[in-house]
Amino acid sequence: MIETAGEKLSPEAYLSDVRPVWCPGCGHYFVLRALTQALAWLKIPNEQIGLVTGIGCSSRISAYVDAYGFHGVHGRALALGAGLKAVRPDMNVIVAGGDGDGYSIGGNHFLHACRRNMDLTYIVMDNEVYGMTKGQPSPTTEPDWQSKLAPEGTGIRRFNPLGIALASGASFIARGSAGDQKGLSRLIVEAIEHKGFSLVEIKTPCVTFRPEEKAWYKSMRKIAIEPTDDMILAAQRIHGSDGFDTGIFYQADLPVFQPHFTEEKSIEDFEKEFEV
Amino acid sequence: MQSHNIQDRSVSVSVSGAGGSGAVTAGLILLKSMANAGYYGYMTRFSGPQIRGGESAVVLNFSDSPVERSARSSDIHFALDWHGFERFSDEIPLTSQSCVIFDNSHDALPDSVASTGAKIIEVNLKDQVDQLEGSRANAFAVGIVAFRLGLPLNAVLEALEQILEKKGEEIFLAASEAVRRGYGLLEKKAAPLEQWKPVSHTRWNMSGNEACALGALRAGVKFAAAYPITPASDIVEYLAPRLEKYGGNVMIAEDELAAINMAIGGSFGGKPSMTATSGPGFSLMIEAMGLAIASEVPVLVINVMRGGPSTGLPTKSEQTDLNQALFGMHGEAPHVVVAPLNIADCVVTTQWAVGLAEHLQTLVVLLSDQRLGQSRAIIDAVPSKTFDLKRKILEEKEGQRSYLRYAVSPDSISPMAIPGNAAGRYTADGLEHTVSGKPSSMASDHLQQLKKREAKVTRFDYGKMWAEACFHLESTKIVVLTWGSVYHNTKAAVSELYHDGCPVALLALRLLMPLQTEAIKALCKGKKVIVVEQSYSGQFCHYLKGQGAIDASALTLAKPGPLVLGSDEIKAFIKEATND
Repeated sequence: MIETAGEKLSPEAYLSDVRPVWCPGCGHYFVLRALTQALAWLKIPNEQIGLVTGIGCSSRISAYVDAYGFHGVHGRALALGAGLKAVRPDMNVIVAGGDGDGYSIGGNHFLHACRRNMDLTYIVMDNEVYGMTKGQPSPTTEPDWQSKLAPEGTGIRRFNPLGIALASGASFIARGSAGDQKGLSRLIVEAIEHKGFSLVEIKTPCVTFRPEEKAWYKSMRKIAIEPTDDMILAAQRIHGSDGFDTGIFYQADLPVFQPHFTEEKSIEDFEKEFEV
Repeated sequence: MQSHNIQDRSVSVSVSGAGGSGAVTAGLILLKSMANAGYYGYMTRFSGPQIRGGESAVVLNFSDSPVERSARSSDIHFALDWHGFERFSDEIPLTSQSCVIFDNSHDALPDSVASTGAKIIEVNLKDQVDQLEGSRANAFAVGIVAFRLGLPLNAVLEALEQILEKKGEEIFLAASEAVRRGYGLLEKKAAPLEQWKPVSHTRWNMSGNEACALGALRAGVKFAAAYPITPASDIVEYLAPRLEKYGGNVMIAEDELAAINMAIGGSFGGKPSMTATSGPGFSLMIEAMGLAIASEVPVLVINVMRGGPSTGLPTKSEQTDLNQALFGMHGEAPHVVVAPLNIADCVVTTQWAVGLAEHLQTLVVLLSDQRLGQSRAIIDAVPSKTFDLKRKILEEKEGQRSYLRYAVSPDSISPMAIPGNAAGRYTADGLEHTVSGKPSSMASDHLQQLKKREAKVTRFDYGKMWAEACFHLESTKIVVLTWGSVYHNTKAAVSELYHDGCPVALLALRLLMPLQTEAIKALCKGKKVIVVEQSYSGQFCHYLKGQGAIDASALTLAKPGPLVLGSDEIKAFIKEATND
């Protein structure tokens, strides 16, 4: 699936000189590595990459990749990315962020990004917690996880990103693990190459506020899910999985939204319409 | 027919009826007919909050010279029926000088109308409609009103053809026959238009919202994203089919939060971008407006204001988003706020606004309002202007890796790299940053970037566009300050007083932020200052005082929407204030 003919690029070619603020051992380092590896494999020129992020630990990634980045406001990265892609279809637009940014404050944009199915790649680093604000439950947190904000747990069922993406019209839906470097890089490559909206949901441990998540490195299974374009089958796999399966759950050739334009009119044509 | 002082030759007409009765269409046909006959006109529309089936009305003011405001009262009112008419009693003042024509096949004449002492003429349009297959009462009404005005039948038929073009020949033929029959229905009277001088040059039939959209196209906007909201939707509806044939496109956003972020994304991608909204949507956009300022991405936000707070008066006008547009953002967020004064000015000011956003690499808010945006007028064609305000873009160079996106330069405007340029890779950031764009919370970086963002906006020379001055401002004793859609009536009031020998002059601001404090101060020094605005609390006046542009002794005539702040009211206020 990956052609590496010719000169090999190193992932370092995609790293900026800004040092991450992430905690030592944070799963996000592996995602940064996997992303830069994928970009190196694809040999996309740095300046042809638009990396748009929101707010949160993971959203800081736009400063760490040597590309055209945009670190915007909380929850709106998908909208900003859609605007960029609308005017610049030539750019490889990658949107990234966390579970709170994408599934909570940005939830509405997530739904509409899926149904719009623009040719964007959306990387969600899901650690089931708000890390930057120091440990509050997110939409993907288990209902009984105890925290300062919810001492008895939230009691609220978890958000199902893959299921919701499928129902909303995303044409590429994958889950990866920060602990599977090579597998994750390959998933990101597939996602970038896919024409349409690609969700790559990555389980990435928060070692500070959810140290128990380090167990994911062992419990997350290597990629075993094979892509299907059958929605029913994909739904069965998504809802049948315990959350530890990785791979492409759904990949289909669906109509991609990309506004087109021509240059057939002049300003004089528009002015004429007003004439009396 | 009475002749008003405001215009030597003007006549006002209103049409009302239940939703679907065609009152608005009748107004559009009359406006276009007047244009065809060589005259000018101005039309405002009113409707109840219902989507369909509610009552609606149009108020038109015609003249043989440019006119952009409503008359004090209706010379002719045509009621297609009296459905919900009481809702418009404030907007359609009738006097003993008015002539009211109504279709008596529906409700009886309301007492409130009879008591005005207006001349009443009854017609039975049901009989007429029954006798002409496919016809509608509003076409007869157009014929009747056109005849009373002395409007040539050909001008009406021509307008009918233009407006009903897409509805098919059958509908057009029935309507034109109805107009003809209506034209001969009432007895001949001396018609006002007989005294008028038609013009023959090309004019434009345009609403304020269309004017803003055209200004945006002239300025080179290539991307607009928006979420539907009254009364701003027509801006993007105008742009949607045109922009995609003019090298750009319009995106329908899932909400206003998305709309502004999409516009920022489009602008980051190198295309002049905008969004249009009204109060509630504007509130939602505020956070990302701060992002545009912090990340120095040019973007235009048009706010067609309506009454607030909350859902407020969705279909009616007020100038009350001023405070929010000036000071709505958290943190210190220098940006530009402009406001057009009339429909033609919507074209020019929007073009200027886009240029300012592009050149200064920041947020520009353009404040229009429902009255300005949704009124339609026959105006002289608006000549194209050149502002020479362009985005400073980083040149493409091989192997360059020393780009500092937020470098401090003499004019504080640093060249912007457009994605695709290998020499200029950077991360735009809403976090405070260093000159390279690297996130930084250091005091020195914060201060440096605060200064940069402030200086580029405040040190820029805005030229003469910042305000419109009328009637010898330098030598006057009284200065009336205003802005936005209140301009026309204020100007009319000041004009009447000035011509009566009162030493009064008008200063209407187009640039609200950064406020040209020193210039205003110089013009107002030692003079009596009166501020006129459409708000309850006097936001504009408080702002001018707070900035030290005018003295604390300045008086304010502040009236909330949705009623028009009439020239008589303004004149009376100025007179009283001056007599003290």
